[in-house]
Amino acid sequence: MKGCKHYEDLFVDGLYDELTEEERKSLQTHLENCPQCASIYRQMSESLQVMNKRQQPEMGDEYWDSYWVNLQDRMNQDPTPTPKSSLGRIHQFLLSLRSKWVLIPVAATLLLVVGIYLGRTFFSPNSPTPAVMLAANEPTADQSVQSALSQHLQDMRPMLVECSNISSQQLNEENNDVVAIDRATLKKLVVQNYLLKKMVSENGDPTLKKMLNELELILTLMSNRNGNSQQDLLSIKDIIKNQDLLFKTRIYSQKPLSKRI
Amino acid sequence: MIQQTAHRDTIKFKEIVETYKKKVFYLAYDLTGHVEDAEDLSQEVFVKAYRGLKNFKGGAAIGSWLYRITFNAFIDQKRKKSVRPEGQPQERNERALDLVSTPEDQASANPEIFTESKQIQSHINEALDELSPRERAVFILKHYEGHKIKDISKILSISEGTIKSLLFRAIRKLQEKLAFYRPEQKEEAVQ
Repeated sequence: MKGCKHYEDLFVDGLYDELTEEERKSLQTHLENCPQCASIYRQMSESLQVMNKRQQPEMGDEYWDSYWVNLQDRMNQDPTPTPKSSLGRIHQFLLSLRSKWVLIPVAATLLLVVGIYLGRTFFSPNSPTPAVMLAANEPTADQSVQSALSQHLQDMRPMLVECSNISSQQLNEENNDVVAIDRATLKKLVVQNYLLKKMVSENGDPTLKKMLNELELILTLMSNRNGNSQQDLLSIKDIIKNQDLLFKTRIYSQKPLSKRI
Repeated sequence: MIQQTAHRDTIKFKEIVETYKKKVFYLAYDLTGHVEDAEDLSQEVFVKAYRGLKNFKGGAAIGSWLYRITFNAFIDQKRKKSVRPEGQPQERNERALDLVSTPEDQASANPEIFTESKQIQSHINEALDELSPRERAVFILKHYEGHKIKDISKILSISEGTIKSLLFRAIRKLQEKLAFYRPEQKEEAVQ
């Protein structure tokens, strides 16, 4: 025996005659045996009959004849929507992705990296005291990016210097890993570089973007090195030299805040 | 070439407007309950339709597409108006009711019947104003436009189960607001 809730779900279909023959008979039988449901059903039906008395306004021919002209006026008044700003587009993109489960680990990783970065920047033994920090001006978003960039380039430089100083003799020595860098540091540099690339706006400094791309390539080569493969080190050395990366990283790590980022 | 395409688009669009202007306007009227708002909403629908014409694949019927735009524009309008003061509903309903009958109708009809009819219209509009935008849209599409539940589900991209729940809630609210029109209530009032 089905309960009243089951039949209540059929009321709307019943009132608008959208039940199958079987459902209709079943509902009818229930209404005959359940005075409470029968009363609700009847009241709903009567309310719909009252709603049938509703009238719509008569708009004259004049109104319809001028409809197109009025609409054209409105279209001329309504400006075409302007393209969204970069921030708006990013926001829309993030909204479109919000239901994707893949964002959860990405968001968690980002949070972790930001936490590590903040911890290293503000709570390292050499960091300024809270009083000094309070005395300083509040950093803006651009200042934060600049500060993160300087930190990243300073972190990168030892490895770049080491790679660029490799001599041919060192490269010929077997089983001698001339550039020793642990995987955790490498991973951190990869993530930092990736985030900075994202932070640099689309219309930002092309040289900076190019430099970050070159650094990314170097980090990828370093990460994918097989054992003590010295061939990759040679490639890295060439990139550093050809792209003037030592010079560029020094300039950008000292560069004052500008609108380039 | 571009001008020719634009001209072709305008001609095609004008045909759509001429075919659907009454349907969209009256749907907008049923949703908003006010002539001025219906005029505004229906025009907004066509403006949006014109901008989206290039993206309209033609897979769905133009009518259903316009209904969906109307529904979304109505929800947007409601959201904006919830933070904007407007005239009293009673006063606005009365203004709308003046357009339901022409002055000739009013003069020729029995004044008592006319007053009663006007009162019923006012009560019905007030009852509809009690519904949430989604309940109202679903109710209008079902009760006045006569669409099947599965078609409403497609037009509004809402599941059939939700459509039925919204309809059930809408009718129950209307029933509560219009209780005094039910036969047994009337009899009680007479006694």
